[in-house]
Amino acid sequence: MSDLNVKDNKFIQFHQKISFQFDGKKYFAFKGDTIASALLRNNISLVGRSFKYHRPRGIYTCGIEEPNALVQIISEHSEPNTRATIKKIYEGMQIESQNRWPSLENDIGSINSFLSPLFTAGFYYKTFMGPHKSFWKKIYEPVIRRAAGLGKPPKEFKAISNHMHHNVDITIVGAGLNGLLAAKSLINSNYDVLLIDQDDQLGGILNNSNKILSINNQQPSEFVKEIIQEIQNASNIQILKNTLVTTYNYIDHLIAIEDKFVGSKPTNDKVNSTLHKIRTSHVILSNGHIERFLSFQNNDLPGVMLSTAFEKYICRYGVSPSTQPVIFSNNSNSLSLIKKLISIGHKPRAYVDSRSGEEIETELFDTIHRNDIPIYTNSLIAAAHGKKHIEKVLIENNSGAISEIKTDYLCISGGINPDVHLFTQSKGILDWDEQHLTYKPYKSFQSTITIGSASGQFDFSKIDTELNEKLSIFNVDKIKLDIKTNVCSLLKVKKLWEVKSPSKSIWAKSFIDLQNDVTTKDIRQAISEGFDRIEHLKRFTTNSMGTDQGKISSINALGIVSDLLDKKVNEVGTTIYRPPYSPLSFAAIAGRNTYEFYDPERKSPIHSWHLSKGAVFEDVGQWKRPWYFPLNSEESMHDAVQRESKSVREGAGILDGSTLGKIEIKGNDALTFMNLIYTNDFTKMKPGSSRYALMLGEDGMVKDDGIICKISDQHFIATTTTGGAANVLTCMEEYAQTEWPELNVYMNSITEQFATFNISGPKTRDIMQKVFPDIDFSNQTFPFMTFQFHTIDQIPIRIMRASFTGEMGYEIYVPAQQALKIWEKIHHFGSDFGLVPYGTETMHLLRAEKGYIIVGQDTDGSITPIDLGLNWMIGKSKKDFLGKRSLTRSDTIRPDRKQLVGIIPSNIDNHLEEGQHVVLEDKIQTPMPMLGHITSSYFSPTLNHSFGLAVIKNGHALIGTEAFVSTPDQKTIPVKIVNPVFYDQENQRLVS
Amino acid sequence: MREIFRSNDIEIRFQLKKQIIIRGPSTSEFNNHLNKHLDLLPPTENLRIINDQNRFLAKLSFDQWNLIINEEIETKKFQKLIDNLNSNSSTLATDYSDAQVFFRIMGSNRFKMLNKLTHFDFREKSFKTLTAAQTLLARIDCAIFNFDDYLYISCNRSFSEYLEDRLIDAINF
Repeated sequence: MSDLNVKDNKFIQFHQKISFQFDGKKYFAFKGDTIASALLRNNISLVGRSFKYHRPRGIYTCGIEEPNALVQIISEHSEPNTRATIKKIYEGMQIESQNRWPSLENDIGSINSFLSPLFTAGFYYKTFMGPHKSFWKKIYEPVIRRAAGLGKPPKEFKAISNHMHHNVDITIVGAGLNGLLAAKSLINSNYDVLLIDQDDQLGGILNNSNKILSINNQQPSEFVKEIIQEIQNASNIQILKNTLVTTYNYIDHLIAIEDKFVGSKPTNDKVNSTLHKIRTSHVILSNGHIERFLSFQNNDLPGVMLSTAFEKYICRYGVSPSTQPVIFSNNSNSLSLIKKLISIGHKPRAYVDSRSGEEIETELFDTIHRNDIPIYTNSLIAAAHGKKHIEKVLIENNSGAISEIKTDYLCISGGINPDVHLFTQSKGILDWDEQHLTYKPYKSFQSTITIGSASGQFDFSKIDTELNEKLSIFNVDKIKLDIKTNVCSLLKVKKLWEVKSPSKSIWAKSFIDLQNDVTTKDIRQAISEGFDRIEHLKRFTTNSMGTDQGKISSINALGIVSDLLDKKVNEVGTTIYRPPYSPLSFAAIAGRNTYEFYDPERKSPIHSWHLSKGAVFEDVGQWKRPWYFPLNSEESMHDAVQRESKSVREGAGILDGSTLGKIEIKGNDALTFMNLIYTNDFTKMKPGSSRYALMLGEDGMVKDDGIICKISDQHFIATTTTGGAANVLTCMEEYAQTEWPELNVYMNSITEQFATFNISGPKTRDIMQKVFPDIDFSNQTFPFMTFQFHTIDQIPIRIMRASFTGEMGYEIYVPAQQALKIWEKIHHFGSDFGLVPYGTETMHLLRAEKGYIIVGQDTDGSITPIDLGLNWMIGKSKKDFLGKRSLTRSDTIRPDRKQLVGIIPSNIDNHLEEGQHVVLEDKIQTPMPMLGHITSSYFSPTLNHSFGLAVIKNGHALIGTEAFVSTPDQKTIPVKIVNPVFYDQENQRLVS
Repeated sequence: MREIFRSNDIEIRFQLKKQIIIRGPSTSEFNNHLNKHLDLLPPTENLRIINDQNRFLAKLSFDQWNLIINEEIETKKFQKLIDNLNSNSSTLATDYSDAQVFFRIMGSNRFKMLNKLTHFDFREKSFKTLTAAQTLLARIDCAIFNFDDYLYISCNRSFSEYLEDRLIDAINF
């Protein structure tokens, strides 16, 4: 093989040599090379093994459509499935081939190729059915996963990716000739324009091919340089290079991924990739076309390459994979490749065309003859042969005679498809183009314009006409182009989807999907088994389901199916191209919303105090709440909770309840509104008093609970659960605005305005008296469920006598900025009385001892107030309230509904777990009827045994009886069903 | 006021401000009531801001206005203002000074930086000076107030550390 380097190339910096490793061996390339061009420059054609049969595979294309050349980048956290055809090389890059063991040359898995007659379409579905259902999970799947697949997922790495949002008027996808011309037309217009291209060089085929000789008497390179300069200088146009649009959502919302480290190694301290999220008013798709391959025996051998890819390697990367390739085509698209080869002193070994001499364009024919290239008309490549690289091809003429030609490369072209992926993602409708034998955009669903070959317009002489027509909606100046080309004036294609194999061997393979190892035989088999709908066939055979989505082959598959079904291609239809166009990494999708920013965190105004006291936090919604306060590193959570709860029962404890939702409600009709929103009746409630209240959904199920403070009939303050705060406010707003718009009522969230401290325990009053000496906390002036406003040291505070522990308690509401000051003051005076801070776990234990529910824990959206034994909270005399009607439905009043009860193990040494099932029988049999489940369970230092709350069928009637709780090890624990209030049933401690 | 970040093209300051959320019917009586106590005619168009030297009043929904005060104000005077506004039973005025924090963002790169965190359209033709927006920024609810050459972004106090970290992160990455 002669020198592969074509040094009259401006894109490759031949003076800048780069070393890299492929499968552990060192090679050299040049700055500007992709992995593929670097490998070709080093005469390497075997780059991987195929998915299923482990057949040797090489470089098939020169772009995003590559099905074969997927590699693992070891030097980038072992990034798998990287397309060698687009990834730029850099100094020290370490690359490994995939899906082979122990080596690429000698792969044990290639035994699959010999077993291939077994692995036909639907093999997995048919074979791995028995003998036992666990076989799939324990044997088949692990073995198949080990044997099949592509790259190995990286084990541990932290990629840095960010997101960037754009709002523009026009987005142009693809900065080839048409995209650049469209952008130029829009320079200095009133439109904000985003021009996106996946390449680091704008210009598309002007850089990648020999197709255009001149534009307006300028060399293509000069033309590109000039036009790019003009666009870059335009203030209304932003260019995104190295950016691939992967997704076209509704409405005109594009997702694009930008590689920030093209040609250099990503670092750990800079953004590796940016996910662009683009909202635009118009989309101009000028994303070009993709060449089709052709199916024939061994069309997957390394050394078989698409014609345009071969041309691009020469023009763009300055490397010619071969000096004497054979060219096989059914169309006129290879003329520019032939001319390019000749211009660099190379010469095709043969030109094979399925068309007759009369059908071949004169210019193509003349060029071939003029340069003395052997031409085979009315002929097909019937097979390629070679071990790990193509060595010869068999040419079959229309009379069936076969001749053999030795070659090291075979360039194939089966026609051209407009790249319609994004257009179909946008729900645009395609139409079959009988002239070019492909689908092309027909009707846009969104504000989409397709131009150039992306629209199925392959005639260079009509570029200006098309642009002038399609861009006229933007009122831009008309353009006039004079383009001289190296292509035939009209693209002509003869139908050829597949060359039937001359070999009758059961091992002969003609591939239709290279990435998923799907053969044309698989397609036939699927049709014969009844999978004649294209979407069914796709799933049965996995055709076009690889990461390349069959970009070079899906139309061929449709063609074969249409022939088999004796239908027209447009009657067969297409499969749906789903986003993304090309795989996106999870790191790119996540952006910065990961690790420390995985979920937004909310912190209470005294979070710093909790930190200083060594609190262990739990996530409640987005809030960081102190879970418990261990005294030291030795104290376990259980010990801390037991200690904290005991301290509250015997002395006093304080909880940071700032996360509780708080809503201020005001208006002339506030009382009416509150009576409608909550089950309780607030009419006779005195100003200055408060009341525990329930909010239901329209279905009558408990939605939230809280305490309502009545300032006046026109003014209330409600508290909500921490997790329900936003929902309750939303619900109030929704009903106020949509159901009862006649009511004069307004509400504001004051959750964040006030910190809330819940102090409780028998010594609470003493502490409060010390902290607020001017306030009378006696039972007479400050009874249970009342509240008062005070100003202490110029700080307006609200104190409410209430408790969620069963002990006497107060809730103190303090403006957030003053919260720490008051909190520390309480601790200062409370220390003499043994005041301890306690966390949410202790709160849960204390409230459960008292039988107080937690909405969302003891309820699950299917529990009514009656189920909870809270009938007394329903304002029965009220004409209406949210959910009232549902409380009288037959289902909500049936006696066997699940109802809240208490559970105590008969043997107090036993422990109960939340979620355990309550059953009537002591012997576990499956299936067996379940009464219900335990919703809350704790060990109480006060009761000195484990206890729980549960919702069980007909629970209220079962109080006093015995049942069993099932354990995961198929055993049961005998339990007693009891009243859910375990502590101070008379409420004497609350009101003392 | 605390400076969080400063460079040639971006500057961020953290601020606490006196703020009142006012809810009420958008009637002439209500407007007069506000004008009487604020000496500002409330904007009638949604998401519009009117301002004077020390305050601005933004209409954030059809029945909600936010009054933000840029100057120091005595607690008693401020409370009196709230009481006055609340003197009309059809009006709910709530002290929101402790509920939210403000980030003042200046510099030519401010929109680019913010567009790493939000899809919001900051272009002049979409987001004019003296208009406001309520949107998601770094996945949390924020209000954005647009002035000549700077923005105020407010968020709930509980998210302030998170948002501050995200703003710095957006500058760094």
